[in-house]
Amino acid sequence: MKQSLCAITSNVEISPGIHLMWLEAPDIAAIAQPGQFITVRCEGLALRRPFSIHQVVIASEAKQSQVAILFKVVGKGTLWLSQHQRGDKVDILGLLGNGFSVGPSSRNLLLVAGGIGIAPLVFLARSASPQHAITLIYGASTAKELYPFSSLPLTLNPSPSKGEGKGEGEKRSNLLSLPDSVRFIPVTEDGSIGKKGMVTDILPDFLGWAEQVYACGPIDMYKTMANMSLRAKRSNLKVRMCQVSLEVRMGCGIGACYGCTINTRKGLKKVCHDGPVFELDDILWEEVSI
Amino acid sequence: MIQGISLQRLPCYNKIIAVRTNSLNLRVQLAPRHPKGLMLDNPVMTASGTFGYGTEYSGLIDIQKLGAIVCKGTTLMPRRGNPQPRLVEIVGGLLNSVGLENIGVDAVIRDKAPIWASWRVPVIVNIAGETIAEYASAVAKLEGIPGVSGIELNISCPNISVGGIEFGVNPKLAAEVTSAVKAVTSLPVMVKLSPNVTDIKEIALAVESAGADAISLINTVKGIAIDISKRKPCLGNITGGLSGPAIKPIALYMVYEVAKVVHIPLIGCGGISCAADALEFIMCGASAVQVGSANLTNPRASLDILEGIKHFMSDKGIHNLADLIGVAQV
Repeated sequence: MKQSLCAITSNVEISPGIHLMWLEAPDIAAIAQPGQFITVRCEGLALRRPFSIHQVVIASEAKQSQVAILFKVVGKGTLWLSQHQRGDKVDILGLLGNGFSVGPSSRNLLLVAGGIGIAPLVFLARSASPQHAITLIYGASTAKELYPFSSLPLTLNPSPSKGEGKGEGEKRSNLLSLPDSVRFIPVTEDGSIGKKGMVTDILPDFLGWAEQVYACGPIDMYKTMANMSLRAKRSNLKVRMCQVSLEVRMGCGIGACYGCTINTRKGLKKVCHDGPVFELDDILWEEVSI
Repeated sequence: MIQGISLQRLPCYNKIIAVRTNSLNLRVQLAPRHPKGLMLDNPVMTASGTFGYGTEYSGLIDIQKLGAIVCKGTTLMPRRGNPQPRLVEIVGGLLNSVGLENIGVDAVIRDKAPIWASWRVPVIVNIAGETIAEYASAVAKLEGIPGVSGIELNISCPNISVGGIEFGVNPKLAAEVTSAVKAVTSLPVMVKLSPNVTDIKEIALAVESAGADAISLINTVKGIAIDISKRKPCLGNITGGLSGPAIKPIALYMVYEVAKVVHIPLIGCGGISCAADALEFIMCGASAVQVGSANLTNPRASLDILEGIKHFMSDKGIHNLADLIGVAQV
């Protein structure tokens, strides 16, 4: 764990209000695991903002290794960060928290992303070994809000308007492709691409197949999954070994201030230090109001 | 690096300069009327609740350079704290309602004190309770425990045996808890005052008379924030304690006022986020300072503040920190 000033190497708005930012952070890149996070100090704000690691690139010149974060502009902190460009330096604290874990005998991994919750799951999908079969169910309100993976058909991307050709080129070079082995299933609330509805509508279809489930998304998505899990205990279709990444307002990020404590079936847990990844079944969802 | 010269990026000044620091005397005695005393190498402490047990930060900054660490508020029995959300950011600071979640004094003695005993930096245990007996029992357990250098009493808790009146808002209750604790410990005791009172001088005089070795001030200021989309309070506990730069002028005023009437050392606390802030408190009459919320924003804040104080002293030709204490009193 280290606090350092890291240079931004690129900041691209890959879809409206969603930024993909690469940072030169060799110490973090070297050890980051999917689900772990960093915090960023934002000028004039008391609380550092947490961001899960979205992707890592290990450079041949170790000092140039980078990590990417993916964020949606939702408030003062993300707005401040979104306005910074290549060459600017930001105060980063990392590496923080505990990430996702994949059991040694698990083969079929189901990844469930809601909205910006795609961020850590891309890292997980790309970190999996060839022996894993991965299905990624990814939901957003509309096609334009889906992460525009470079390997997906262009129709997935918002078409570039005139004069923006260069920007679009930069966008595409920054985008990630999913490994060929990943089965990608988009879901949109308006049906503009993929299945119409919520990710949790189609989730039951995959529960028989999945050996482990990894989810990142809004609390309501988790609550629906938790209910599904409860109901499934009475049938054979269970959300098995499901890990979720929680986001609550954090103070220190290192387990010192007790600002992010939640109650779980295993007692009080600090989201920043004991999480942010927890077992779905361990969280007392009826108590969660975050 | 040349011996005695440190290069640093100074808080509040954005330039890199060399500071000659080896001739400076920043030592401060926090308990002059206590037989053992409580001598700190420098006046920069961390405030309770923002720095855990010190262990959390030990891999991140050189905590041994701090003047002292005040640990997380500790109660006789473990406490679960308040429901989420516990933190709300406001302009210039932070509202919190952690609710004294802590592992309890027995776990502190078992798991934390042995680590502290190997440290050079003194650790002061912050104690909270809901009855005088609870305070006294918790403090008594710390007697003779290696690694514990002092006690700080958090008297902002409601006294459940007298109908929930906070100890810290009533001079009589504040004095009672102070003398009860003094009776069961040979450690120096500082009392941390609440700002949520009509006349803080009255409380300060009461705890001084009851035997307090020092006074730290201020604790957080009561506050509330509303989530307008949900039409209800932001915090799970409805109300919380305000900290951060927004409360600095209040804290400074209280230090300024209390310094006029008491004769024991004051430790200034409230919104200190750079060396200039700390110096303001010292010039108002504080012998030492505690850095709180700023640790969350910048884990290096306390050490940056210490370096900034050294720079100021060196720059102005001041060799003894004591020469700055209370100089702004008029």
